[in-house]
Amino acid sequence: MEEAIYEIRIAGQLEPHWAAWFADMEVRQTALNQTILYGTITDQSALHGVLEKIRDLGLTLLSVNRLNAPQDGSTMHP
Amino acid sequence: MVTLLQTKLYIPPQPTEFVPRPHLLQKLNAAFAPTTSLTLTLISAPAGFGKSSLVAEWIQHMKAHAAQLDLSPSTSHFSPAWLSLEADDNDPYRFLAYLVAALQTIPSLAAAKIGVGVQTMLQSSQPPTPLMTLTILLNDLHSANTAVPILIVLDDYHCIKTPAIHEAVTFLLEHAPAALHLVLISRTDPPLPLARLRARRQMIEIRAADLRFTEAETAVFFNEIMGLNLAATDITALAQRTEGWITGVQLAAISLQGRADIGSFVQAFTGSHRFILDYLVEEVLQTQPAIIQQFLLQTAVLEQLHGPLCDAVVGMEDWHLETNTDPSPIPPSPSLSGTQILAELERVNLFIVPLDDERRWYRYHHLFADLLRARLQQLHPELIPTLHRRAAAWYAEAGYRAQAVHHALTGSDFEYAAQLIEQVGIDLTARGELGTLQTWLHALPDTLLRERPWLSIYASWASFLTGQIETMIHHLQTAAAAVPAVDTVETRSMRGHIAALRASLAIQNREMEHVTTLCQEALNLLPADDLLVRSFMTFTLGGIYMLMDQLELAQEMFVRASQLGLTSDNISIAIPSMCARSQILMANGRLHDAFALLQQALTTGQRAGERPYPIAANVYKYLANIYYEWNDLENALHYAQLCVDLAQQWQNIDVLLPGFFTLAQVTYTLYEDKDAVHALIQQAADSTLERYLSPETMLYYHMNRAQLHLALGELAAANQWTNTQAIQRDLPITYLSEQVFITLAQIYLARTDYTEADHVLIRLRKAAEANGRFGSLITIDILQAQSAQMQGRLDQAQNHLLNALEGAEQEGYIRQFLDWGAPMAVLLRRIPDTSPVSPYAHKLLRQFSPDPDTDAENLPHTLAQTPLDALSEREMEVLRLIAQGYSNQDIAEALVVTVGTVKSHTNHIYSKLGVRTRTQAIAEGRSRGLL
Repeated sequence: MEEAIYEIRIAGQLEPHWAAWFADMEVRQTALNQTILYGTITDQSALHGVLEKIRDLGLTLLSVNRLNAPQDGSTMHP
Repeated sequence: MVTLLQTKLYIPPQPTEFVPRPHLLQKLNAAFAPTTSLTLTLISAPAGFGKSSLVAEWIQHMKAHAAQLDLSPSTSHFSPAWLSLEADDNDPYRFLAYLVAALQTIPSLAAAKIGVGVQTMLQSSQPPTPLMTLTILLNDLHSANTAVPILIVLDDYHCIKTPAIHEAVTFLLEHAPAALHLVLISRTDPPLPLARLRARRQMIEIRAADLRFTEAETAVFFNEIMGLNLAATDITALAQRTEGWITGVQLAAISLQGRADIGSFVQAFTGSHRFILDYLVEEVLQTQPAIIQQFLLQTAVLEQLHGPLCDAVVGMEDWHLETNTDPSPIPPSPSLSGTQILAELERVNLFIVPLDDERRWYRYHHLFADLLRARLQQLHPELIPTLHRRAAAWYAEAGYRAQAVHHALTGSDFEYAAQLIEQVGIDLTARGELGTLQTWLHALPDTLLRERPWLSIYASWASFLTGQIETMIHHLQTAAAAVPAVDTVETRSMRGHIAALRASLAIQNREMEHVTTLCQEALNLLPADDLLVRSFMTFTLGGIYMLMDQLELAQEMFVRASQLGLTSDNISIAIPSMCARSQILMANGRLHDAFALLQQALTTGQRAGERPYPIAANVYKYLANIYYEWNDLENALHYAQLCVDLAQQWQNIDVLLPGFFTLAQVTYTLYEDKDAVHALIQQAADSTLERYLSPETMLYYHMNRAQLHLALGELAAANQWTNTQAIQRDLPITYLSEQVFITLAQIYLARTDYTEADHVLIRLRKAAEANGRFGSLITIDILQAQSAQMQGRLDQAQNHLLNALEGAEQEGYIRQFLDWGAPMAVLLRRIPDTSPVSPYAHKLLRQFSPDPDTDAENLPHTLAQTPLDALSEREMEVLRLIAQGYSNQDIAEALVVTVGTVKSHTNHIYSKLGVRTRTQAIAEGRSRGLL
């Protein structure tokens, strides 16, 4: 129940190379001068770890959305 | 060896040139405005907003301008305490140790030895709870009563995640002396009661919006500080792009240095939507030579930077700077050492923070370090474990074991980490840094704990000492299974620890029959130099022998345990051992030996600092008991009071309760003030509310209470104890139960139940004689004399008294005789002059209240001058008896008159003295010199 896909929206355009830093989440730039971190997060403490990294880089957090839990618990990348 | 602790306490230096921010300084200055109730300043903003720099600037400003500012004149001695926190500081004990160390950097507090006692307590094997420790520290601060403001800065407070530490900080804020002000620098709002502090206007807040550079400040920075001479339009563009974010402004300025095409840089930068850090760090790094770039990325794994450490970590292998470009190894360039590079980085202002005045240790600015680490992970993820391992090896070699463990764990070199933890496990256990130890052990794979018995042994101790018995048992089983079957010094030592753990578990489960065997097994197996566990086992054995009434063996164990404790500076074993020894000595009638030992215990307990150890409370109590017996009531009162104060502070109920009763007894003998005594009984009763009392503590509590009621002449209340308590009268009388039977005998005597009294006294005598408890025999002889006297068998009474006097003379027993009052005086007067104890009997007689005949001659003049108010001789006699605590019934019996007559006397006394109560009569009698 804990593992889920999250979509984390931050202000500014982050380069794709930050993926490794953010627990291998996908880094997608949007047209609105924003960046979306997209991917599976194991549990709540992993989520807070990602949020802490966003905080520690001085990035502006815009939203955090939990999308859906993967059907079989395996990592899922669309 | 430089302790890394000092680097954590170092106040970051302020660059010689910086943007002055008077509006923020003014806001901060309110902290020390006269009559302020502000206790907290919270600087809460994301990374890179110049939070620490602002506070550092403020501190310099305060130091420089204290005299001119409209602050208290004492601010001229302004010297703050600074503590930079890290993720590793989440152990409450470690945090407190650092906090104390930080406070001691303040000269006035160091001079007053603030926290020295706490520091030693924290290093002891059984440190008090964090909140208790903090209480002691706060009491120290309160008693220092400093007029100088105490400023404590906790930097990077967001690293703290442990609720116990947040609790401690909240407690600090709520109980701090007015002179103390706390500054918290954090990237997130800390989980403290901020709303309450805000509502009470006790908090100054500086947040991101306050910290952003204004356009004017941005201009000052670019043009005046960095000397870049930018055009106003460029400034505006840069201010907008960076949004006044200071790190962005600084990075932009560094990128601009030495550039000819300023305009095009500004245009490219402000036109880009890229993450500002990505953009600027790339710019900054590209301006650096390859060797510096490599250095920056590889040393980014380090928390602290030190020349030789960097040399050990930075390697040449497989190194290229960009993933996309062709691998182009950097040409070896051995000409620059780590120390030189660090100096160069500081010179060019490349986000490096010195951690000491000698420029031996540095760290990267946290945000910069994160960026470098992210880049390292992008470019060379495979290299990271290697870098950590190199760091671990260097730290281990240099003797910084905790840092070595940190890097070994981060570098996933678990074998090496395990090896290091094995070396420091016992020290961490002894210092009570169990949180750290448990975090480390938890980070290791389970297989290692199964393969390496020491790790399970430490895990088991840590669980036991933190009260996690289930986990303790689990680790204990793992450890027992892991010890190899061979018999070596090491496996014996392991088995010794396992036996000691099982003994501890048996005590916990109250399976006393196993404890002796297990303790002895542990002592046989443990090496001679394992003082910590040996002393613990020896002390435990002493306690068990005491329970089994084998006092000689117990005495032997306590002697050994106190020696082991003293040798290893383990006061929490040494002092209780000395207390137990002196307790046995007192029972044996060796008051002077007991006294000497207690004095030694007292010196040991106070040696470390101004403030005595919590366990010293017991020492105070026994000293009070001995002084009382010697009829040195002033000292008895002093020590009884110290005992109660200390035990109260530590909420140590097992010492507090007997302490209250000792204090009550002394107070009563000194002042004969029943109200005061009842107030103390009430306090004792209150302190038992909602507390767990062990069966032993409960028994002694009610017994002590009964004794006191007896002394106050409240027989009914005393008698209640014999009825309500499940006292097993037929149990064997042992050292530990003796006092219960003595109290019973006293109550039987008071209610003239001679058969019961004599029966118990004969049993008491047999037990005491069989075990050589000569001190107890004195008490028993006095009680037997009393019983015989009450039954009219005066010769028998005299024989018992002669026995008692014989035993009492050498060790100076006095109070036991005096407390019996007038009937004792009668018996003492009957002692023939020819008896060898006659001089001592006379000595005792002289210590009774002077008799009325001699008193009459010494009547003070005041009496003659106010004849109308003068008390008659009979009234004086009654007043004296009142002052001795006699009830009307007692007085009637003593003077052989009716209670009605006594009441009429007391009424006359009250009206002549102009008082309404007995207590007031005593006080007035004293002030008129009648008593």
